[in-house]
Amino acid sequence: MLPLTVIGLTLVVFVLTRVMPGDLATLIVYDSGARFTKPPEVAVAEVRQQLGLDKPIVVQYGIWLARLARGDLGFSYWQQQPVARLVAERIPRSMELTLVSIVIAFLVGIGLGTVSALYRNSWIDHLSRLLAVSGISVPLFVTSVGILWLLVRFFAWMPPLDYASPWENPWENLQQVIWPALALAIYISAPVMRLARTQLLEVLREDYIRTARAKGLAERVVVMRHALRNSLIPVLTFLGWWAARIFGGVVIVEVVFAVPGMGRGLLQAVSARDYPLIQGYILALGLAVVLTNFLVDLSYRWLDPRVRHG
Amino acid sequence: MTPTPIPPRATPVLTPTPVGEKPQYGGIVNYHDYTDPVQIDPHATTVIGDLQMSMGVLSSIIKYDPRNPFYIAPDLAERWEQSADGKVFTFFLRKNVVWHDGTPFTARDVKVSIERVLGIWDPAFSAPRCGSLLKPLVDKMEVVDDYTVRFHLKFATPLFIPSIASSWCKIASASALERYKNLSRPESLIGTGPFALKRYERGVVFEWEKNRRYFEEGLPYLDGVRHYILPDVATQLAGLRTGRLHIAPNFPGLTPSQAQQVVSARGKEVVAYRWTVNNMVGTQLNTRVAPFNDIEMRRAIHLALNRQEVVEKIFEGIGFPCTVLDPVAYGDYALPMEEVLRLPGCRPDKTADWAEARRIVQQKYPGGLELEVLVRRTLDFVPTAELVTAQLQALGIRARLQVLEPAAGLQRYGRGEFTIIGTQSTSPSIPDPSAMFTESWVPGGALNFTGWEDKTFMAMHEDAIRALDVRQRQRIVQEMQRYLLTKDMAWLVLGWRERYFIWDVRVKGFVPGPSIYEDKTFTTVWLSP
Repeated sequence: MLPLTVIGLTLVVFVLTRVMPGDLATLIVYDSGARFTKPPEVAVAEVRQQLGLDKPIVVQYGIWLARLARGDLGFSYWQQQPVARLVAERIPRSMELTLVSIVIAFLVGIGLGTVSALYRNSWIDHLSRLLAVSGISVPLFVTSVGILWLLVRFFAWMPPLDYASPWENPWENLQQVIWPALALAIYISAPVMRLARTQLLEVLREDYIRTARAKGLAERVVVMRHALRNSLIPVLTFLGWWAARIFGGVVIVEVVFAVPGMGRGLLQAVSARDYPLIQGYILALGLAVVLTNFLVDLSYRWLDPRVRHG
Repeated sequence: MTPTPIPPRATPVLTPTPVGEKPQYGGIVNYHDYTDPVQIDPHATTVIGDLQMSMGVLSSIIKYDPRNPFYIAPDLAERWEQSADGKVFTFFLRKNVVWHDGTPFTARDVKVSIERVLGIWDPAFSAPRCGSLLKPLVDKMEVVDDYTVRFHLKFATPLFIPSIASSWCKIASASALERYKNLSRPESLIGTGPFALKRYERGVVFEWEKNRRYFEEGLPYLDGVRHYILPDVATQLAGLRTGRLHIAPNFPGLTPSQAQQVVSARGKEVVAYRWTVNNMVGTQLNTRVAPFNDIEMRRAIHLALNRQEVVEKIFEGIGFPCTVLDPVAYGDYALPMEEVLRLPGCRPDKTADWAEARRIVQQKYPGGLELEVLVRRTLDFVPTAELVTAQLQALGIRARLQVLEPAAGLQRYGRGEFTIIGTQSTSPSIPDPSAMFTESWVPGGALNFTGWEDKTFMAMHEDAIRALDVRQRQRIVQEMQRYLLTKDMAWLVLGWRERYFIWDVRVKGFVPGPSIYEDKTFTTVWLSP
């Protein structure tokens, strides 16, 4: 399935970039002043020919796919650099942000969900559910701007503007990544918490939990080893299902917190209608979604013995 | 902290550096660009966000004086002479100048750059800003010797000196141009300016470092300037409020409420300075198609638009309604505001104007008129266009707003596929009044999509670019403004914005100029401890 999914992805990415309104050739003509030496329509036609945009979309797709098969993602029209280099430069930043977000989201979401399920209908359950509903209801850009506003308003501080690699300057990198990761984590942890709570409540009613308790196992062992582990399967499925949304959220937090990752790069590429770069970024993000789902599928084997032995 | 009120508009300041204060060396100023530079070749671009990259890196033959950008000063040329008939300019170039890569600067570099913008060096290349400034004026340029160049003009004109001094006409290294064919790559931006381009991470930051071999002794004072690329306004404001940024740029500039946020947070640590953005905002009518191929309908819209409301609601009360030229930037060339505000269409009391506009529309379109108002989603264009649409609806026109992505908008405008563009702004390339007319009302202006051509106006424009006597030129330019406001125009002026500059009090020697394109080389800026 994986190769078919990737080919389908390339087709969607290619067609989407070509059908969106706004034309790169027109932008180049108006930005380079070519309309001053010749009629705009002539200049636009010439640029389209130079860039190969005058060929039928199917032919353009075929050429792009053939290059892609050789590992060549093309050349950025505006940045005058290989797309592969630009994407490779930004992938680690977005991946770091995403991973930190997911770790925070799962720690908080599963933690709150577990506490909520164990203390059902208590004040902590009500509070956790209220937080979850808020996390789902408030748009990510509002959460992001809100966090930035709080930092600025009450601490007269904002994350550093210059990006520092975690290998070169881990402290500065943490200062920059933690806040957008927190915003994204709030967005992810709310549904995780609700799902974890529901699943745990269901699992706690299962016969094998009753058996474990009847055998005299400590409640902590029953919950942590038997109940929680089984309730995590749907939560992980959710991660695969939500991966596209999470990577979409990365675009928003990277813009607000000025993190120079793929999301911010994608937005810039879309504004400039830099087709090869848009394709490169979306393809990388799409592959990340596919890979996440693949890893989720693999993780079932570890979490669920029925899959492992089935 | 007690909020400090933002100050009213100041009179032009020659230098905010207190007299007697001795400039200090060292330090890095943190600045920001509101957009990610797309086309960094200063000859090829039309956008200030792109131009900023090369502003302090490349030099011009002559320049707007960084200590007082209202005046022209020597740059690569240490002096210049003008012939008696005013048609020949000879520039004597400095002999101690080296490029950032260590090669010596000569007249050949000037020749290649100028021939490039004139379309001689590469006929396929066109320079939208510098080319449109120089091509109508320059007949030929000759290299007299290694350190002397001579320009022969087609006619004597006061436009030549402000044009050749422009940041759009910077001199690039001939060897870099020969090697890279253009200046679109960061490595091709080899200059002679006070700073060299140290690094450029696209979408993140570009940084200048001090050119230790800069030809003006003792300059620059700073070790460098970091330009963070911050398209998001919330991030820009956060940077200013927390002191991570030293200066807010004058384009697009801060509105009063945004400036107030920064001043409230930082009090006396910042200077807030109300100043012109040198940016005209207007509504464009397509004169190639109905209903605006009819001069009466153009007049109806001119009468109906409420510019005072635009200034109040969009510019947050600071700006100049209706005037063709900004009175701050253009001084005596601008029609006095008292006169502008007495004219139909511009006067604050709209009762008579609306009645006349309604009469025209009802007479021409008794069954009613339906219009699609287009606008690009950029800067504050959408809220401005919403207001314009509401004003048209109040006139009885069934106006409907359609918002387009910036690229899609340009495409439709360029093809002439529109009836009315709700909002489009422009900043003239040089702070000379005729440049504003060239770019906005003379056919072929970079952002003029109206298709409007008027022989009487063109004749006046020809007179304006040839008039050498200042008083005579002022009279012609004022007459052109009266003509546009009372006879006909298709790019209807809504107003000129004013905004706030904000800078940290430690930043000294920063002088806002009459043009947003000429005051950010940071040559004479320094940081106090």
